[in-house]
Amino acid sequence: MELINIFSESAMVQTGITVLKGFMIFISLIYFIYAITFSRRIKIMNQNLKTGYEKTFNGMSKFHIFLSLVSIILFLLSIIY
Amino acid sequence: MKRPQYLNSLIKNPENTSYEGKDHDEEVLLLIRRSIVTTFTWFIGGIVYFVTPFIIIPLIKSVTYDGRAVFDNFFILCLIFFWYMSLFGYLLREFLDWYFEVFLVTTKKIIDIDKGATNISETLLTNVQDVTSETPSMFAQIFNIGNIKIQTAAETKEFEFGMVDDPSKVRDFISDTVARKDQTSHGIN
Repeated sequence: MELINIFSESAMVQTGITVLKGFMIFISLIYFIYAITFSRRIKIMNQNLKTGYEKTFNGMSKFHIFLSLVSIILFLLSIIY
Repeated sequence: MKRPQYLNSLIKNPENTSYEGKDHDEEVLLLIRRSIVTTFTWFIGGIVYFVTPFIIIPLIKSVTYDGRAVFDNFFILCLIFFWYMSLFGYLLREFLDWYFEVFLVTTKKIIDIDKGATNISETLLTNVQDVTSETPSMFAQIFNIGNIKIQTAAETKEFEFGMVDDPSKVRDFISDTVARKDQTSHGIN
């Protein structure tokens, strides 16, 4: 009666959790793309208005991209483990 | 406590400030930014954003199946990390949108750099015909913030910059600069 086990309540809960985790990976991937686009925008901003904080803003933007990459990795790890 | 210069709405002779296409003999005389009071909305938004996990996370943790928590601690930690990372992104975007939306008065031109510094208009000081300041609402009157409208003879008829600190002072400064420029261009000293 393996088939019954697949559709058991606990298996469905597990599948739901995995789907949710997969969805979060998808969201964090979209966020990563947004972070890269935003970084490009910051470059244009810095180019159009030159201030003394160009390096700081670029650094923050890179940190933002790095954080979004870390979040993808974390969600991937949450599926694996 | 004195506010750092970069957070000021009006900066005379700003240091290290320039724009794409600035001439060698051109100087930035005034940098105008929206009043810091206008950042209030995203400041409140940021606080709500920050506090939300304190309400949501206990609810997520309380979801159980067969007496066991449905979501493991590591996944919850990932959610918290993602949430605060996006809060950082939100505050960074809002701050930069505010920071880069400026109005520059130089010795030659007036430059309007719009939100995101992607839409830029400029006109020569000699084209300026009329400068108007207005304090439209009671909120604006309380904080002494308002709009500046500049009518020009150029193709872009009107320049408008909203919610600046001390609009009368800005209007006076621009009018004086335009008058000085007109005198110079007509050879009057």
